[in-house]
Amino acid sequence: MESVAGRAPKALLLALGLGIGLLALLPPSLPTYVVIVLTESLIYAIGAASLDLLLGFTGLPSLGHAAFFSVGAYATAVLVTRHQASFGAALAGSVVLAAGVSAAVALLALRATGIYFMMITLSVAMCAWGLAYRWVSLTGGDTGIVGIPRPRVPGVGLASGALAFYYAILALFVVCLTLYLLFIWSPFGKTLVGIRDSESRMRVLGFNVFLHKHLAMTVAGAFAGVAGSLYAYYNGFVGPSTVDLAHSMEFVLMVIVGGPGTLVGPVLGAFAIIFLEKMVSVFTDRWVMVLAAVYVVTALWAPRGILGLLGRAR
Amino acid sequence: MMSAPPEAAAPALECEGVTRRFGGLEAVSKVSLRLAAGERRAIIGPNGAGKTTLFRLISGEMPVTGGRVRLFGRDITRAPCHHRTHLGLGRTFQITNIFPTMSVLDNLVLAALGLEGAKFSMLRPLWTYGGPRARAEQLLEAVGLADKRDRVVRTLSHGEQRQIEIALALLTRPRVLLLDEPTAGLSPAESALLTRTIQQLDGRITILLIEHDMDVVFDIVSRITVLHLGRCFTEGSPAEVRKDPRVQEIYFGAGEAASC
Amino acid sequence: MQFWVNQSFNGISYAALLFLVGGGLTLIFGVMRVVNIAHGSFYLVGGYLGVVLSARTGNFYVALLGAALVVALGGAALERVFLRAVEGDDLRQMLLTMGIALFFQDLCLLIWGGDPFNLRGPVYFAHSLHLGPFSFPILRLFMIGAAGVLFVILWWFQERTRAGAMVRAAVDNAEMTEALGINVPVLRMGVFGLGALLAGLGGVIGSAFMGIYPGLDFEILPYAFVVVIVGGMGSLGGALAAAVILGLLDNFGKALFPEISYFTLFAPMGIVLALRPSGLFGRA
Repeated sequence: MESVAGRAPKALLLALGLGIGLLALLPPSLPTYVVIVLTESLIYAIGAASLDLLLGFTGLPSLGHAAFFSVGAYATAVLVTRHQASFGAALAGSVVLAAGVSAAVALLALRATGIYFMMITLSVAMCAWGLAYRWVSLTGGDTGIVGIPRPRVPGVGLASGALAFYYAILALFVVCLTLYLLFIWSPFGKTLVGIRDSESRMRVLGFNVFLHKHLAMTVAGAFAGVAGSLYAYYNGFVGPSTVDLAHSMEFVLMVIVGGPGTLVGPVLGAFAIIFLEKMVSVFTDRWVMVLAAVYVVTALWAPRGILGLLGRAR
Repeated sequence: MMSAPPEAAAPALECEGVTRRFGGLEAVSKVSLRLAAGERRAIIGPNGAGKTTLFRLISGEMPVTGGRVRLFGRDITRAPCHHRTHLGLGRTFQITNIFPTMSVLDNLVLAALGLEGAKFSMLRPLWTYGGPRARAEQLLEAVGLADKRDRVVRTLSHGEQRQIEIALALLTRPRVLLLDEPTAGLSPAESALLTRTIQQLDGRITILLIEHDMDVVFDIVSRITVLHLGRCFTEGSPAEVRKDPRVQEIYFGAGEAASC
Repeated sequence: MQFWVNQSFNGISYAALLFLVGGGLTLIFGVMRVVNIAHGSFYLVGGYLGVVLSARTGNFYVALLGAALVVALGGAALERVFLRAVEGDDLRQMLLTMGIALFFQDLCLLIWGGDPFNLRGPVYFAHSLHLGPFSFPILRLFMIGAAGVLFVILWWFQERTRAGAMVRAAVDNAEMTEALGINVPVLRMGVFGLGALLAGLGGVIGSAFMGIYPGLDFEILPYAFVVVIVGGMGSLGGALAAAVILGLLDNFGKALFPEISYFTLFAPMGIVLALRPSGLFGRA
């Protein structure tokens, strides 16, 4: 992607500008259903990109990302339905909690590397699911938390209609994207790439690799919390299914299908998987089978995702 | 005028009885050596003598099972790897260990960040920080790779990569530099170039060198330590070691003389 | 007193199930370094096949062995056809096993629908053994017995046979094992099949014990994973110890603190990771 010391390639910024322009201008003329799917895609794009910070940029195959996403979702759900929290307060609460949980998990998980790390993060996600299921007084158990109203977003007003809500989400997506780009262009972001390429070299150059990895996981957790918070409003309901294994793995799939380590790839991956799901579900009940095929095909033939295939074709 | 700090009297690098055990095997066994500031020392010995393991113990990549390591009098035996770098220890790797997908300049800028607080900055692009880039450019000139700054490092020749290997270590402002077979796999011409780079290093830097190429050794160092089977075998000036028949013996086996 | 004996017995019988599922997974991790998300699928398919075979033949033991064998062969085939292509790449292997898991999840749903099934074992499973004031259900005794027998067989196989030595060698150092001329691909296939076999056995026994229904594959997975983490990757003895610890903790936890009973799963894992990351019996 971009070089460490040089400027960001103009091509990337141009492409992003174009994409966001389209996302801003087209929706009023699109059917409501498409707008809703775009909204969901944007939310998951924020989540998938946060995982890419770990998986793609730092080389940390964190498989439990739905756990942090769900902490954000449940936090917003609880704060809004039981404490009438404002949009900003709920978002802040979600971010802080998700980042906190991520930091705590990282302390344990980062003691391992490779598949052991994968196993531990996966187990954490599964335990989070179990907690969501059993801690009924907090999470509502199997029933979950229902009736999450659309938020009153500062600057947009009550985002109750599909279009209004969409634009609120788009605005937040652009904010997150800007922060993501600044992050990966920053010195810290570059150290993560260095860690991915050679931990031993980084240590000997004076970098506290554990600390960097820990901070990366905390930041990624915070952004996952943002995505989770928005999801709570989008879905109106948060339950154990938000934090189940399949959900965690879907984030991984989105990152890999798009192209890990590119930031833009996971955004594309999120759109791709969600649109695919909606389209396939029109024709058949067996979306899960199709998803299984996507996993298998990606693993066997496209491990670097769409952007990877495009890169090779060039 | 205050009395000289204790650091000034202490050796730049000291290993005291350093030992590393793997199960029943002692890869490094009670190795002791002391390097004075500015000294150039080589460690030689046949394969399996424990040279690279010793380097790992000194740099902190591997914990010792016994003994102490001191840097300018300060005990660093338990210090983590990155901390030792901040205290002035630098290291190159025997197998080139650079960032393969990045450009030459990017490699150096990243290395220059190692000691800077800016490495934790998360919201300001790296290119707005002039300091690390300036230092990287400076070193780029010093190792003669300025015209290749934007080349992806993977595409460079082995010799050029070995130059980068040293450049990276130099960017951490080392006071003691561990060079692990810097000329490994180099042609005679590349070897000579690298040797000259090392010779031109600041005289205040203490250098500990693992090498197999004796010409390089004799060109650079003033003293040699010989390791054999994890132990210190002997130590002396290059001339002394060259003439020592026991040293020839551990390389070539008993009863064989070799011309040096 | 009765409470403690009963809970302990229940915990140990549950541990038997955990050992079957976790033991297979720990071998797969240890030898193949694969994050096998499809492990729950072996359990699920085994359970359903067990129900089908039992209904067809009326014989529990035929169903048990038949289902487990089919699952074992299926597992070995999956390894040969799919996993071998992405050997060495952790992430790709995991994606692959996830795809396989989802496939079987949906397939089972398609074939058997959403309702739960119970495997009706032999009549005596419903009876209990009475020892003084205590009564021990025969089914649970069978579970403990089966797991115990399997552990002994596996331990003997690993410690006393050449094939077992190869497995142990591969756990220690796969590269070296291959360099010694041992056919590691066949070994991997065999181990994967063995892991599937154990999980399949667990599925059949589990369906007699607590029924079989969609979603069990992903429900049983965290337990299997925690057994592996706590016990140590690749260690059968560790899996047994971890299964016992977890089985007891889970049972007592549910009985005493039902709301946060999932913590009884979480806590040992967290403690082990904090103090001894390679697991109780794992290699560092």
